[in-house]
Amino acid sequence: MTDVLHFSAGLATLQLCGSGFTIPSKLFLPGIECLTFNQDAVRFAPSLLDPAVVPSLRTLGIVGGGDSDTLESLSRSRLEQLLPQIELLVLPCDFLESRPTYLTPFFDNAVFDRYPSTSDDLNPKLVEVQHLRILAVVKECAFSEYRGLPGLITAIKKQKPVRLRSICLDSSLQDTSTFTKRAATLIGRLVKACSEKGIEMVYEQQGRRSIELFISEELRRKRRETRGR
Amino acid sequence: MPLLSLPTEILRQIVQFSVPSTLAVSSYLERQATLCALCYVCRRLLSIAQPLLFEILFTPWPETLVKILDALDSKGWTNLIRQVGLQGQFMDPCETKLLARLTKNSPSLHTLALDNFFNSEVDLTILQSFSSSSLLTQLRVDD
Repeated sequence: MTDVLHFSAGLATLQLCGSGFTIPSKLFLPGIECLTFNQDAVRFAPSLLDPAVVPSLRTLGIVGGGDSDTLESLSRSRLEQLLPQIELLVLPCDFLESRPTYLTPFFDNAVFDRYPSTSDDLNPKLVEVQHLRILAVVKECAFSEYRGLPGLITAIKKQKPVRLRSICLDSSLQDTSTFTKRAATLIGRLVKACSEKGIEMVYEQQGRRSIELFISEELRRKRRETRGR
Repeated sequence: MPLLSLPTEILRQIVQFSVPSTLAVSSYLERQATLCALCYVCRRLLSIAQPLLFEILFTPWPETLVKILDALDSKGWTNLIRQVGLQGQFMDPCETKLLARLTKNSPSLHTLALDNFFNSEVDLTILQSFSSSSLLTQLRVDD
């Protein structure tokens, strides 16, 4: 007698925002390939980030947060066992400061999220990463949201040797023809600096609301292509 | 060759590829507007485009989801919903039951973005249902 197990595509992408969820103890989600938590939902990481729960996980996103509570939740999970199979890891740039030991070997392949408007000062470690994603800078936003970009452009120009391999921007920034002059100039300078240093620009439709996907299919496809080279 | 002379399955694929399919509000509005416009062209395109209107759902309000599920039930359409972005309040137990109903109506759901806006209690046992309904079938094959 032989048992044959058939698997087909079920729920493959799950994004959780907020808290208050109750996770059953014997959850098994064999179809989940992409899992994203926002800073409130990351407290459920210990229940979900486990090879016994999400054995097919390939993409993991921790969006926002990056504080000690986030780290504590992740350290209580079995993320360490999942890391070797993860193809796309999206992390908050705060992790560059805290550098959790089990995560640092995977930093080179991770995409680090950066909200430029959070500070005028550029975290010097930001250009030490290989893949960077700039969030919250979109066509419609106020120019003040761009304020972290000049520092980034300068750092890219000065960088020697170049560590950055790709920068991900919202797709609304791809065509700057309708932008204000100073916004268009700034984006143009960033694109030029990246081009000169051989840094790839990746454009994706970034989620702006909590029920939009924080990790786009474009970003996942790009990562698959990069890994396939 | 006139477009409408193509076989239905080919025509369906053309329509599917001509509209955005990402779980994003801006492209969702574009998708729904295009599909609605196609529904008015002729009965044949109506039969193709109308079910596609239910493939991706953004439902910030539970009442909207109830109406959508009622509409699907009335047409006897199951297995259409693929992607859902749900910003629930989940204050009312009925809303949690709504998730269970969504599970039942959506065995092919592959993407779920759930925002528990008011941090109310939401039992994620429902996720098991999404997976087990279509994911795992065990066959016993006798030698």
